[in-house]
Amino acid sequence: MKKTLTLLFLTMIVFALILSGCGKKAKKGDREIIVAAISEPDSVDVHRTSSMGDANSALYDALMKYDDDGNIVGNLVKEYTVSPDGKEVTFELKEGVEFHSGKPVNAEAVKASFERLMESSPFKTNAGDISKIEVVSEYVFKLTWNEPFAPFFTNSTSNYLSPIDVSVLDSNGEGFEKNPSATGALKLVEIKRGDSLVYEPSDKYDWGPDGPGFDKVTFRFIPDEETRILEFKKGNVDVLGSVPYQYIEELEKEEGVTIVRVPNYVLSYLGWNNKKPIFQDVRVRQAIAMAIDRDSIITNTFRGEAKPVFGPLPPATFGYNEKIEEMARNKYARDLDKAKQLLSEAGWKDTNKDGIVMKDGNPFKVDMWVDNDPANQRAAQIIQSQLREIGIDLSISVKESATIIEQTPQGAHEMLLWSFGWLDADVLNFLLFGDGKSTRLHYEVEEIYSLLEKGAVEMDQEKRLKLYEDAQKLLVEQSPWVPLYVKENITAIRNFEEFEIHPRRNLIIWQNVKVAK
Amino acid sequence: MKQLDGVNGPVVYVEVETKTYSKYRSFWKKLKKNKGALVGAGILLFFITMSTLAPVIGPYPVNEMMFEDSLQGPSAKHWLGTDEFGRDLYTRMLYGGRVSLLMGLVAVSISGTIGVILGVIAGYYRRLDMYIMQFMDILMAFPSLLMAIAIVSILGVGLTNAMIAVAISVIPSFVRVVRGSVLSVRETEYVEASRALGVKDGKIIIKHILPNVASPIIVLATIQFGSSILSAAALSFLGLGAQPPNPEWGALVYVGKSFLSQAWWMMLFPGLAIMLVVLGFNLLGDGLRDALDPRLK
Amino acid sequence: MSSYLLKRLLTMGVTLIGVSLLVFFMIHLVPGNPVTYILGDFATEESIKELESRLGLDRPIFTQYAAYMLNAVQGDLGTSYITGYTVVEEILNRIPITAQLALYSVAFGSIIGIMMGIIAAVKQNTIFDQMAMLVALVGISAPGFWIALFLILLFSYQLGIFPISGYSGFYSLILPSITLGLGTAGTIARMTRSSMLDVIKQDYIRTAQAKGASLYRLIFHHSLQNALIPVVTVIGMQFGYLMAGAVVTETVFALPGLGSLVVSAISTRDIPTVQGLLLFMASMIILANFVVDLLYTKLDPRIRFD
Repeated sequence: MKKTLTLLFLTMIVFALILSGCGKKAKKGDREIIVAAISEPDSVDVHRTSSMGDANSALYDALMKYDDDGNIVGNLVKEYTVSPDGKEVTFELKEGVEFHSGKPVNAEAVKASFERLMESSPFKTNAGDISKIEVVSEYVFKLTWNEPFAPFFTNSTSNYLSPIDVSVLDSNGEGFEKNPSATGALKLVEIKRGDSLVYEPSDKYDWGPDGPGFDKVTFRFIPDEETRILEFKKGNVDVLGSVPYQYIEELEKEEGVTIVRVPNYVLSYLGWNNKKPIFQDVRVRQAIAMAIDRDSIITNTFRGEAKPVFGPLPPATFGYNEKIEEMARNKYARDLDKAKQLLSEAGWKDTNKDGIVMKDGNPFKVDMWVDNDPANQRAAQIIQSQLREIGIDLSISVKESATIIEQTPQGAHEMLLWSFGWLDADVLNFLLFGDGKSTRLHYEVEEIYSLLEKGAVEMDQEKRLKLYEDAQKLLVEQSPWVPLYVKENITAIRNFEEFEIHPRRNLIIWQNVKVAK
Repeated sequence: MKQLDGVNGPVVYVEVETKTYSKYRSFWKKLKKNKGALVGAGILLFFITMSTLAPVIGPYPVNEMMFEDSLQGPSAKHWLGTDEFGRDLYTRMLYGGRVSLLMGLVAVSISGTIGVILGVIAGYYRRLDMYIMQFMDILMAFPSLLMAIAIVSILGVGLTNAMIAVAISVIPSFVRVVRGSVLSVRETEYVEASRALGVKDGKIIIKHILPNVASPIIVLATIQFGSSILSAAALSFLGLGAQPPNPEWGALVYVGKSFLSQAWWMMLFPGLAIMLVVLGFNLLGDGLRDALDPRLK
Repeated sequence: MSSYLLKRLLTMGVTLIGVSLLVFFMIHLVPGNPVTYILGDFATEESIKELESRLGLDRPIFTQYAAYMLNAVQGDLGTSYITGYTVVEEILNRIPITAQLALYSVAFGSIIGIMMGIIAAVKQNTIFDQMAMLVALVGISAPGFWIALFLILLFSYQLGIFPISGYSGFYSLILPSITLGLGTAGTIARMTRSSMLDVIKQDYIRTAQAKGASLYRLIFHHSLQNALIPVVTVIGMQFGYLMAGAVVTETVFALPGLGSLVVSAISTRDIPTVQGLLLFMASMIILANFVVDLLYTKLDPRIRFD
């Protein structure tokens, strides 16, 4: 028996020694940047992943981009011409651009990339209903749509439409995630599943006269918030994205730490299922909007690091209109008396003096869904206490995002605290208020969605803006939801001479990153 | 037959009665001598009293936000400090104790009831034994927390569902213990005698089997009470249990975690409370085991 | 013995099939399917249907199950819809971390637990005994996630002795192993104490004591060997506990192991990964229990199964 035990322990020790041999971490180099990220991207393949963030989008470079004034101009594309009927667009590519693999980025390559997108990407709707992709000459290609598709240009500033190098794919059209090649600033060097992604600056990328300001970028995935912050404070991490708001002040005091603030393009909103009888009366919807005090939420959950938004679109999105924002702000500034009055006009009165309004003997009780982000849960609690002030009894249900995404289209929810982020006003159509597409809010009104549908096919920018202005006016009036705020995107950095985050896309601009000596 | 029954019945009854009576006395004597059990009972009594009296002794309203008092450390005004909305942590923990203890109680009641029924069936009706135990083996092949996470994913996040999930993951341990005890009691002379006399199964189970398997059930329930609170807290910690603004202790730790380096009290005290209560149940459970049935380990 | 073995193997097979059925149908009950998760805001009826058929999710559930099991038997647990990695690849990638974590925490738990158990048994009913048993109970009662954060705060952040998070060899696994091993240590200490006490009471020890054998000899030569038999069982039983504990511990310490994978896979509704992992973990637990049973008979010749 003694032998057996000794043997058992010996095996265990040998096993342990073998195991601990694997995976030693190399010492960090001088010009290496370590970025702490919350979660590993599910894939680095842009045609597969459900989340584009810093850790996978630097592989790609977009066809179009925003200039400093917020206009859309060519990036990989030099010029483009739109046919008179708006259904055909001819693009001329810049010459001499190469993929990470060294293959040229020409019309053939872009065509092949679009073909893979159309064939197998779940996100092909971003390219519109393309009927034909043609190679005109070595650097010129032509796209033809069945219907004009106005959002294409905004969408092509995102990486969803970026060209990928299909020559690295295997015979099944897969395998990209292990050996990706595209045109972005960073080239993938190593994948340690569940732990990190290692990149180096691509030698095919135009870094300007001084070359890249760093030699290596490692994205480390640390799901736990506190662990991530401690790693940064300890100096093991150079870039800490999405800093929790309560830590900003503390990190600012640390030596050598700079806080970079960029307004997020994501608009948080308080929505509800407009098909539910309780939300049929516009006065009830308006009363809810008037009960919300955005400033209190922003001060007490985001430490002031958010900007209130009253209108349907956030400033970063094409179609945002200051007149609309102004109008909404005047209409829905917090006014408890007016809110109570509207409720009582709609028949909701606090008859039994318990603080909750009632109609036909039923108290105003609603349930609100919120995801498991701690800051959103704090905001939910403040909204709960604000609605309580006009006599609405709100309960909070935490749901996983996957559940919210699946169940809201079926209308299983009453209220929800949710958000959207899209750079084109077409989002009002394809996600929020389109005919048969209002998956989160279930608000489909012909006079609104007909305007939105016209906007999607209108190739003239001025006319397009006017259509969205009209639609937004109606939305402000009807109040089918309460837009809340755009959070500030907070990044803490250390040891950089230069560092920049794109104001619209919220991604690190690697050309403008330089580590301190 | 009828006469025999009349003669034998009361005799057995009286025997059991005296046995139980003397058992009780020695039980109390042993329990009182066990310091650990007394400490455990003391801890539990303290927490139960405090949470029951929460509305009376809680110095502040449980959910009222006082933004100007947010993140205050422990002081004379706020004994255990305040949270991110300026809510008094002491008050919230008093109310949270109700939720945590109730979660444990519900989880143990559900799993105990189902576990005892299945365990008795498995132990008594040997034909069904194989199937039930096979099913329990399947359930036991899953780590309990993972099982609970999976169940919560199906039922949806929330307090009730977390309780159900914890309860289901605890059932197999009840079934095993009860079945084992039933098997040993089943072979005893008086049960065999009753069976021979044609006493109905239900009567045998209620009269003879259950009283004799009560001790291990009580011990196990006490210990599982504690570990259910722990599992429920772990679920809340992963964001799958109690919903805000519910002050369940695990949820308080989860929220406190976000403020660890600025407001250590928000995480320390609720965690400490969980540990103490679980410790209390374990101490009491140990004491009960020693007093009720020293053979059980 | 061999007929017992056969019977045992048979039930193991049945259990495994049951486990696979339970896993498969449980996962298909989870609301939020991978298709809507992948598509997110871009989900349209058409795109949902198309992706479902590409992933084979539109087939009847029994067909899916049969196809899955057929592949699983051949060692193919499927390919993640989202990451493009095969599940076997993912498990192999991550198993070293979880295995090491389990091993170290069992080692930590056993060493501390057995030591505490011996002290408590030898000094029975003294203050040492009571303190050791109290510490053991505290180890069992403390929430692991809570202990972990305070350990990080003290040893990694304040004192800088250990890395805060991530995997960088043995050193980075010390704190996670302690977190995970505390409960094990407590359980083993209690078990060691009680089985030591049982052995000490037995006649041959008393005889040896009467003959004037030294205390050291008594503990290590006579009592401990026999007392360790039930302890080995407990160590085997801890396997399932460790797997569950790894879920929380790996999340807090950002370790790329099986536990953290299962949590992230559940939240992204990555069905093949969750399915494969649960099946794998359950199989390991079943196997561990089997090995424990066998060891038990090997270690104690008095025990025989019929």
